[in-house]
Amino acid sequence: MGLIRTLSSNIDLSDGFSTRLLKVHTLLLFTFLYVPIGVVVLLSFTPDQVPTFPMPGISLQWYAEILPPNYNEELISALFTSLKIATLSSIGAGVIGTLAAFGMVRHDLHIRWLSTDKLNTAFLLPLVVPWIVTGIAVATLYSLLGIYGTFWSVVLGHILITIPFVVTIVSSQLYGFDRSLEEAAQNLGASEIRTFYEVTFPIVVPGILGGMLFAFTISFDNFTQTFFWTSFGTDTLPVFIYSMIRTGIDPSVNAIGTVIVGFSLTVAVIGEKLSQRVLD
Amino acid sequence: MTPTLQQTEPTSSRDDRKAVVTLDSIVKEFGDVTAVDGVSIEVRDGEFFSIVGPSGCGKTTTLRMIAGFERPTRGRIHLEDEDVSQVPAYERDIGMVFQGYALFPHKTVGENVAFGLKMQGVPEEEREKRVADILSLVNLPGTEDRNPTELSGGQQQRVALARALVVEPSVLLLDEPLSNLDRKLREEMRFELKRIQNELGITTIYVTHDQEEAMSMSDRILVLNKGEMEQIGEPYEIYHGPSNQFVADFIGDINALPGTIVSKTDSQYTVELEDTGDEIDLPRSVAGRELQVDARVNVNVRPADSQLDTKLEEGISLQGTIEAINFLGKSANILIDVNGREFLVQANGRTAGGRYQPGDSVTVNWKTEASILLQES
Amino acid sequence: MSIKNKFDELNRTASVYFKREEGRLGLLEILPGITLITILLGGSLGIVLLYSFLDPAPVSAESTFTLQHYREFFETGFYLSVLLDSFIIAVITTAAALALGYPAAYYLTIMDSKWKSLYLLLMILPFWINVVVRTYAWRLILGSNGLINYLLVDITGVINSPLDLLYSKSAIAIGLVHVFLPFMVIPIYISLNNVDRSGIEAAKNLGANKLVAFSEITFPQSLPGVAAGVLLVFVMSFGAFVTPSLLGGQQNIMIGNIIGQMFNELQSWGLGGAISVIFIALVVTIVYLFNRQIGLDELYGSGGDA
Repeated sequence: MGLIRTLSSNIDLSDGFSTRLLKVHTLLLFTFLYVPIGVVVLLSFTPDQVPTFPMPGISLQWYAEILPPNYNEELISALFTSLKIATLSSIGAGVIGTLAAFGMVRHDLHIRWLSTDKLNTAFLLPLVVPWIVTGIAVATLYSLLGIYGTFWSVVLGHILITIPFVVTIVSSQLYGFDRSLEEAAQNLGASEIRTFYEVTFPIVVPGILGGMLFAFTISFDNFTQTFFWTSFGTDTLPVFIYSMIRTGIDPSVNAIGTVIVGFSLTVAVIGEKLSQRVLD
Repeated sequence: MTPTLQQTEPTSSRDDRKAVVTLDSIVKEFGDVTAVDGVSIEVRDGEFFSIVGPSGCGKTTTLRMIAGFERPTRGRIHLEDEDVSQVPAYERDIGMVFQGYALFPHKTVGENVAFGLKMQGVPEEEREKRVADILSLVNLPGTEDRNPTELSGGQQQRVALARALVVEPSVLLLDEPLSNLDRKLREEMRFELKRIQNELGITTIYVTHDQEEAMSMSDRILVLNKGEMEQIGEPYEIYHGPSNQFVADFIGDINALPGTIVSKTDSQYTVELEDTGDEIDLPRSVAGRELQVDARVNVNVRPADSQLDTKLEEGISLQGTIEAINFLGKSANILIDVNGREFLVQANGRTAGGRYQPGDSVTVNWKTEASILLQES
Repeated sequence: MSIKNKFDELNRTASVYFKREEGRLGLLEILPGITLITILLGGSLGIVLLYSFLDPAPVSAESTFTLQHYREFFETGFYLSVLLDSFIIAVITTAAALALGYPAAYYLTIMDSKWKSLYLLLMILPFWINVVVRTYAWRLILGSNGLINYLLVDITGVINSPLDLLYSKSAIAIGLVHVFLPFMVIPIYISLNNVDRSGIEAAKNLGANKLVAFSEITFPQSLPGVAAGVLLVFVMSFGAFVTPSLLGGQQNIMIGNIIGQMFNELQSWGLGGAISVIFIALVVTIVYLFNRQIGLDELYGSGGDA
């Protein structure tokens, strides 16, 4: 430590130089993050059977896979399965997670062995347990119960893995909630229920929606657990894409990937705007 | 209730007014902590009543019990003739302005102010009219469509006041409403609050830690300490006739000189001051209650009642050395070392300002009847 | 100027008022969530634990209690070596993500505020893109016909024959860094952002140069964020499944792939259960030791919603 201190006190970086160094580093990091995504998008326009460089020209033929009349039926059905599961599980996680956040933040439970800290940890567990283990373990339970591979079992599993996000986002919103707003409403003659829907709910709702949007994306993107939970007929989009590329590369995956990138970025920007509102 | 409590005789003009808010031996316990311990007050119709005390003295808890946000552990709360101790907050005819204003951020100024009327089911047209009227009263006409977050702190404060007043409650509660404003605005709002209160004649209970604020606005003041009542009275009485050392210290600046009563007669006490050994004679009228020989006491005197190097007919003099001078213009605060104890004199700026320098030897004087003799707490 | 107590400083400025309510309604509110987690997660982990001691698993009439699966794990060098490989890959991934992520997070905190939100958005955006697609992208870059070989062989001619970049441990680590980088950057950014600037100014004022001010003032205060990021990236990459299976090929697999195979293709639920139990125990031990070293409270403070 002494050596480092001596050394560092003898190196004096000018403000401009060190900042520029950091900026170059950050921009290189962005290159690292975005080049692969750019490559997927670029190669989706190849006319070749194999998506490689150099591209001999530009073609939209791979987008035909996802567009009528020649779309890939399995692909579209996987997409709809994903959308349905993501919608249902984000609603489920939204309701259960919001209730839990209210219960944890706003109430003293007075149960000695169940402190708020322990509850917090419990609601983070689905995120903390290694995903592969959650995947196989829940699959094992499902097959024991005889519901393995069913649509609703996948929805239930997705509610489990998205709850931590809703609970975290909604509780942080509730911790910042000024309770005197509710007292002001009651002081002005609003009953408890009226206070909830006139004051509490409208103020917390952006946080709940933000949490649900997060849950939707997590569910829509989830691969590791879902891979072990689905079977024929309930394959989600990520599982379907995985099975397409398990053994090689396929230019139609680039087209699908490009659409997913566009879709995800849109959702992300909306989510960002919404969470900005939450933060304000 | 503390035995030292000195209940003020109500002045004749207020005597006949009916009590609007009555607290009867209110106690509030949070677990092992007693936040409010036996508070009994009667706030009369149209009165501006303040509750002051240091942080944690129970003043806000008392206010919250009146509003109905907390239930008293023991004791009764009456609003006019009705016992409201078990009535929920939303059924009490009470308006409140919160310390942080608590304006609904998702509603406009107009919607905020109209909220109480909407809860009462007042038709929209009448609502709009009453909102406009009350916004004029608080000097914010035409701001209905603004967003509360766009307003300055002082304006938000007025909106909060308008929102509480528009429903015409029988009592207005104010919880440190000026504490988030800067000094200049705070002084402006004091006058403003007082003007509006006068105009509406509404019974008002005001909670503050700022004794100066309380004195400048109130008809009567309750001083609370550690949940217990120390004194109730008009500002003048509390300032010049504090019933104990806590009140004397809390309300305004005061010099406290410790001593012991060495003898007493029918008309006076003789006190030996601890610092100087001087024996001084004080008329019985400067002590709030009977004191015993050998009692440990403080001879208190307000800085504004003290003078330097003045010949007084019936006065007390002590020798000291000037430590520091703080010239404020119309007055000068002069800190004097009297045998190791700091003594503050608030002297006239014109006569004392340029005359003294730190290190000067001076005589501190005050009129005998300006002394306040209190048992050491 | 003080001869006695002044209470002005007691002026409370906090404008957010917070309270908790008594009563059983709270219990009712957390009940659905806690039931789901207990039954679905707790129950299924319990079954895996049970299966790890049964032969044959799943339960049948002739199932008996056995330690055979655990014995098999420790006696077959293969599983242990995969576990060790996974650990090494996770450590390399974490170190690389920290080395890449810390300077970027630091730059985000000091940069001009006009561009800050854009840079932040750019840092988080990839997180929203499907992990399968992002991992697939690396095949197009690292493959023998991929972007890198195209640049090296066809464009610049630096080398004559394509490099074998895909299907290696390095490929797995690169893919993992790409996937988990936001989980490193965000917690570090949050804790760096909370560093009190005046401390740095004071240090400089006292004669410290930039590097000393950084190492003495800024860096120590960012440690909670670093700890959170390191923990998240390590745990997630240690248990990775999709990245190794797409970028590692047959030769380079991680423990997650083994567990997956046991349950899917091989149907050895007993051995798979035992491996899962050992893996979880190992992760919990590492997290526990790490937390004891660093201090647990700080981690939850900044790593909450990553």
